[in-house]
This record gives sequence, C-alpha cells and structure tokens, in this order.
Amino acid sequence: MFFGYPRSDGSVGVRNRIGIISLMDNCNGLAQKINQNVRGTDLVTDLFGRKLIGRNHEMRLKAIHGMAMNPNLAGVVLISLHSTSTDTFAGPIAAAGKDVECIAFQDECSTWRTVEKGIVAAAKLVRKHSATQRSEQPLSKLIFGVECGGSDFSSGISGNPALGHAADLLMDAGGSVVLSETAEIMGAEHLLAERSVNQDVAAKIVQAIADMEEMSRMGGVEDIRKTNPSADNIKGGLTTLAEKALGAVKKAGTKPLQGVVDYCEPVVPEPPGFYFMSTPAPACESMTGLAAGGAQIIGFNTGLGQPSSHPFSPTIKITGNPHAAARGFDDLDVDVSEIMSGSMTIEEGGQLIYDELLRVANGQYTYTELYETGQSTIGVAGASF
Amino acid sequence: MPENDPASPPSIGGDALDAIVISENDNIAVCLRDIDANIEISIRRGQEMFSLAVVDPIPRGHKVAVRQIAEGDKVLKYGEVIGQASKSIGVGNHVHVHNVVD
Repeated sequence: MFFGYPRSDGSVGVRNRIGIISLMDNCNGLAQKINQNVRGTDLVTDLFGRKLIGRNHEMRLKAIHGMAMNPNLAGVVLISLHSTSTDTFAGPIAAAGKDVECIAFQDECSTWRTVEKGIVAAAKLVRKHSATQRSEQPLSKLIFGVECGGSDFSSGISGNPALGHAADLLMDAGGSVVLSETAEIMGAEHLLAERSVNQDVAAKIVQAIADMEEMSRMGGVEDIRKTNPSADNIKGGLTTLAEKALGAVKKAGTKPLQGVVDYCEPVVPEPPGFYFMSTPAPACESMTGLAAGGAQIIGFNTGLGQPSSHPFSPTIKITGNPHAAARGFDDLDVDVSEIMSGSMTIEEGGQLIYDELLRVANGQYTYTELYETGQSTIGVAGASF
Repeated sequence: MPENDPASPPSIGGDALDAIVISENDNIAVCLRDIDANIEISIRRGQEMFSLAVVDPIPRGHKVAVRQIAEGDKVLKYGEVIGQASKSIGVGNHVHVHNVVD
C-alpha cells in the first residue's frame, strides 16, 4: 500500500497539484505567468493547438484531456485565446468529476487582467484542495510508466534490467506498469505477442508496430528494419534487432501483457499488470503519453544523462552508468551503477528503485520536480516515430 | 546517492567484474571491458560469481558464450531468444554476427 490522494473517479494521486494548461501556443506566456505566481501549480504548454486536422487533432484532444485527468491533479486551469476552445476541453473534464476553471484572453482583452484572473482562479483551487489529506491506498491504484533516454552501453546491462526488476516487484504487489515507444520495441513484437494474455492483445501489439512502420514509410523512411541494428549498434556488440529491442523492453519486467492502448489514451488497469502504449520514441512525447494515460510516476533510466521529466508525473531518474552517477549527483535519483562493478546484483538495484518508487508515491520529491524542469510535448503523427 | 567527486569519475567495470549474465538461463555473458584472448575472466550471474576461460578477444559490450551452443541452438539474453547460432559456438567464444542469425 501507499499513501495517496483519492479522486472522485476512483483514481489516486501521488501529488495534489493544480495543473495550469495552455491550450494554444499564443497563450503559453500567460499560462507561464500564472504558474510562476501560484505555489502548488504545475505548467503544461502547447506548441501547436490551432488548425490541426485529422489524426493530429484527435491526438491533441486526447493528450490534453488525459493530462488534465491525471490523478496527480486535484484540478486544472485552462488558458486559451477564446472561450470556444476552453469550453471544448472543460466540459468533458468537469463531467469526469474534476474541478476546472477557464481563462479566455478575449474575455478580458488584456494581458494583465487575464493573468490576474488566472492567478486568482488557480489560488482558489490550490487553497481548496490543500485541505485534502493522504490516505492509505492499495498499490493496484498505482500506474508506473517506464522510460529510457540518453541510452548507452550501460542501459541494456544494468539500468534497464534493474528497472525491470522494480517493475516486477510493483506488479507482484498489485500495481501496473506501462511501457511505451513503439519504434524501440520493433524486433521484439513477436516476444511481446507471445507474452500477451490473449490473441486480441497479441494482434494489437503487432498492429502497433505495423502502423509505426507504415507511418515512417509515409515520412520517407523506406524500411527502418533494414537499418537496424545500425553499424554503430553492431560495433557496440548488438547482434540482432530482437536483442536491441529487448534491451528496451527489459525495463518493463517480465509479466504477461494485459493490454495495448493508443497514444494518450487512458490506461485502465483492469486487471492490474503490464500494459503497452503506442507512442513516438522521443522521451518528451512518450512521457506526455504516459502522463495522459494516467501514470502517476515515471521511472527513467539514462546512461549518458537526459534532463527530461513530465510536469504532472514525478519522474525518477536512474542510471546504471558509473560516469553518469558521478557527474549527475545533483540530478539522478537512483544510482544502480554498482551493478557494473560487481558489488550489486541486478535484483538489488531493482529493489533500490522500487524503494524509491514507494517513497515518491508517498510524497518524496524527485530532483526534476524540485527544479521544475518538466516539459510536455504532444507527438505529431507522421513527423517522427 | 553517494556524494561523488565529479572530477574523478570511477572507471566502468571497477576492479573485480569482467562480465554479467543478465538472466539466469542466458547462455551468454555481456563483457564490461575489452577482454584479451586466452585469459580467465570473472563473471556474475545473480548472487553467484564464477570464472571462465575466454578464447577470443571480446570488445566491451559484446557477448561471450558461457555454455556450449550447438549450430541451430537459441542464443538467450534477458532470458529471451535474441537469435540462433549459425555455427557451433564453444564456451569462451565471441558470440556475434559471424555466428548468430535472426
């Protein structure tokens, strides 16, 4: 069990924050001013937000709704150019039982009146929800996203296997784990299909890879399978595509695959266990998907160092590389690099990560939360994979 | 997290360990340093440490066979099949693209 904040939809937050979400790029600066002036708020800005069409429009709707619904948020303040756009999002968020306030620039036609209105609205929400206390919750309410970035030689040997062991410990205790980054698992999809609980899930994981390959062909990349493992990968010791993919898949543990969800769709952990979300491979886009899917915490393994974290989902930075551990002492939350010197087993490293995960679930800050360096990016279909 | 001195990062590999068997049933170990041919190396598998006579020179990050792998046998890493031996691979031999196929 852990101590978290129960929400009206049955989910449980490990934080009790108010999200400040900009719905258009032209309002990012206003949203930033509101965030800077109210303690207890976290900011998500948007790079596009206007005139998107088709799949990208749908992805953005799901991403913003999903992030607003993240259990770590007690409420949200939406900032946009006009009320047509704030209302589009506010209706479904309110209907789902979450407090939401809308701030539209054109209602005020003034930077400072808009910001002032946003600050007061945010402060009222923070003040109201600060009365909520943590209570005892089962680990079945916890969704843990697993991520890696800035990968190197150590990632597949120490960091990812240790993170995978932590994932197994969490699932053994009743929790759920979400793996993402579709391009990274290419070559291991047959193994994930074999690990699937039924044919439907197996078909979905194979389809997710096929969709990603089709999208990359549309983007002008003829056959990404043929160029993987790359000459550099082979020089580094990776022999087959399956081996490369398994190094990434390993961080999600060894349990059966319970379900596959599309980008930014909610992960409904019924039953709890191992899930996959189809996302772009870059960390910010991927973690935006995980946060929108409802992951309250993300575990992020890095070999070379990587600064990203999600503003709404505390991100535990892990390394299995002794050089990164020594240089990143002000950034990395868990050091499992002793696996590389032989003084720590993979299982001991996994236990360290699991212990940290429970501490963070109970309220301990991660470094990136304290530095407020979180960044959210909604993926763009066809532009990257 | 220990308070490390950023000016003198420790070297990868430390003093004792040369290679790791990542999952119990793997028939390969991953080398943590460049290994010369015909030397004894120290390998960790879970709680257990054992030594193995290496035949080929093996670069850091590459794989060494810790069990005899017959032609057609599965090569196991992470407890999963990463490929198939295209020829017989003896204990201590380098396991890579020259003797493994998809």
